[in-house]
Amino acid sequence: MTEHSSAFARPVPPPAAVDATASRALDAAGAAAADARLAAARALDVDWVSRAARAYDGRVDEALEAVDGAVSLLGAAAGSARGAEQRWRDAPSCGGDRPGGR
Amino acid sequence: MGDGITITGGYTAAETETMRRAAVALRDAAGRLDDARLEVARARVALRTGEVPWAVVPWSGADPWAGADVWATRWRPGASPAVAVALDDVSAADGAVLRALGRLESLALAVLRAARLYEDHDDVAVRLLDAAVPVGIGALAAELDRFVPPWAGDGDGGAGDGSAVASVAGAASWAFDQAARGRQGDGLRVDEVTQGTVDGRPDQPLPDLAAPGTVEGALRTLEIPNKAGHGVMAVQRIGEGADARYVVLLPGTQSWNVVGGGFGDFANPRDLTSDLDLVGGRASAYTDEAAEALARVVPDGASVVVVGHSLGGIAATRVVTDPVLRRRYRFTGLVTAGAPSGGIAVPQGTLALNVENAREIVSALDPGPNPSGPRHVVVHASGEDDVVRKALDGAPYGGGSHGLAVHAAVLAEARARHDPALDRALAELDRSLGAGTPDAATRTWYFRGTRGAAVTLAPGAGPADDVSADDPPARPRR
Repeated sequence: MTEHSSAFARPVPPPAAVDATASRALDAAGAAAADARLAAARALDVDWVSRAARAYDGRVDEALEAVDGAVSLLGAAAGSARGAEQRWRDAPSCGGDRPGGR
Repeated sequence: MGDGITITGGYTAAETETMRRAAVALRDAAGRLDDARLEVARARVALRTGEVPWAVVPWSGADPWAGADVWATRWRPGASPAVAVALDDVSAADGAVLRALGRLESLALAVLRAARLYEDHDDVAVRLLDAAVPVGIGALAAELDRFVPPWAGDGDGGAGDGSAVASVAGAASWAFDQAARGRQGDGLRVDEVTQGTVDGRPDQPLPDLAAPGTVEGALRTLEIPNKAGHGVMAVQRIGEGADARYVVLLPGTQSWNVVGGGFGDFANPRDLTSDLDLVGGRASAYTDEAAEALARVVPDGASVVVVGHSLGGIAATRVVTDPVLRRRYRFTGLVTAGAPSGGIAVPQGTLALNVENAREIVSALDPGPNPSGPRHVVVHASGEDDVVRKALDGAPYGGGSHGLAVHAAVLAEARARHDPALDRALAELDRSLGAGTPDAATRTWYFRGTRGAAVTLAPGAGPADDVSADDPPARPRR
């Protein structure tokens, strides 16, 4: 693909056609997981609530670590998806629909 | 609840609502993770349904997708490995979200379970303790019940009216008491002592005890007066002046004598006679000794914690519930270990803690169930786990599963589990026992009670000396 500068205004495809797909969905997933982490931490912020949970077999630290892990992996997946999408944008078109296009 | 420790009672009513809210919040958080999974699914579909516009990596003939979950997608023929990497990452992320969701759901359930169990704790306590009462006692009581004279049972109605154990103990106590009274008289002499047995060596100066700082420390400290000599108990003052508070240390049974003259040392109030008296709801020489010790060294209105083991535990319970003594002293705390003190309702003003385990029989001889409540916490180890066994292995003083070291270890284990109600109770009791004031001055008095000697009671020392019309009927004096 050869890039040409143009003095003319041209239509820009809506984001949904390209990157409002996998990476965007994963970003949303990451944000939801981060919200979950915040909400869980807030719920457990009362010291004796977390201690009561532990007293009754609740694995407080493991749960928060699991959410942290999910947030982290969602971020990584979003990065990978974004990379794939970027490669699609950089690659010469072979025709057909674009990845994840709607 | 894990590992065989049951904690009942304590102030939890306000917390349960907060716990419920926390459980709901955790479930909401899990719901947010469910939302995340939906987005992940969208991402997966987006990656899978793309076509093949960009054969960046030439098809090599090898199949880089073998085993991947994109086998059947339209990406496969010539799709970029970057997409495969992304799909792998998405799968890993999805698994992590699923695991986190499960963890949060489990955590929410644990919090909810804790809240519900707190609310239901009274029933739990009664069931456990009923099961713990040895069958033999019940059978014995049933056999003896028809022989028990109605006037030989409990005297004040507070020690488990209708309890078979109380009736049997009361009858036995009465019978033994009549025999003893005929032989040695009724007098109780209480002397302050400064020398006794220390570390197994007799006639040593009895030590001034350091402030225990914790309930476990107080239980361990009880070994000092316990081993100091026959009939010995101790009173400790922590702090001075307006800040002074007092700890009464009542050790357990020393003599298994019940009739006097024939066997053992009837002079010692720390004997089975006192056990039977107290379980049967009668006054005892041991509680009289404690009342006298209080009258000697504790000023009226002072804050007092009473700590007792075994016989000392039920004596401690009788002391803090005695209406006359309650008017003279502010009993802020009661700690019993391995004591059959169930069935005695402790007034709300006194924070009560009972420690017991199912491997020792003594605390199961309660005349009634342990009355747990907002200000009455019971720590019960089932004995079916490692807590008691490990404590037995490490017990330095012997005494088996009934020993003070085992009770202290059980309580330490319970403390480590951070039950909120127990935490609250321990914090309050620990403060009364000197926590947070390590430099507070202390002083310790030791007293020896002797039955059958010339009476040396301070004026007003006896629990029944000063009963007003407003008080419940006093227990019969022996």
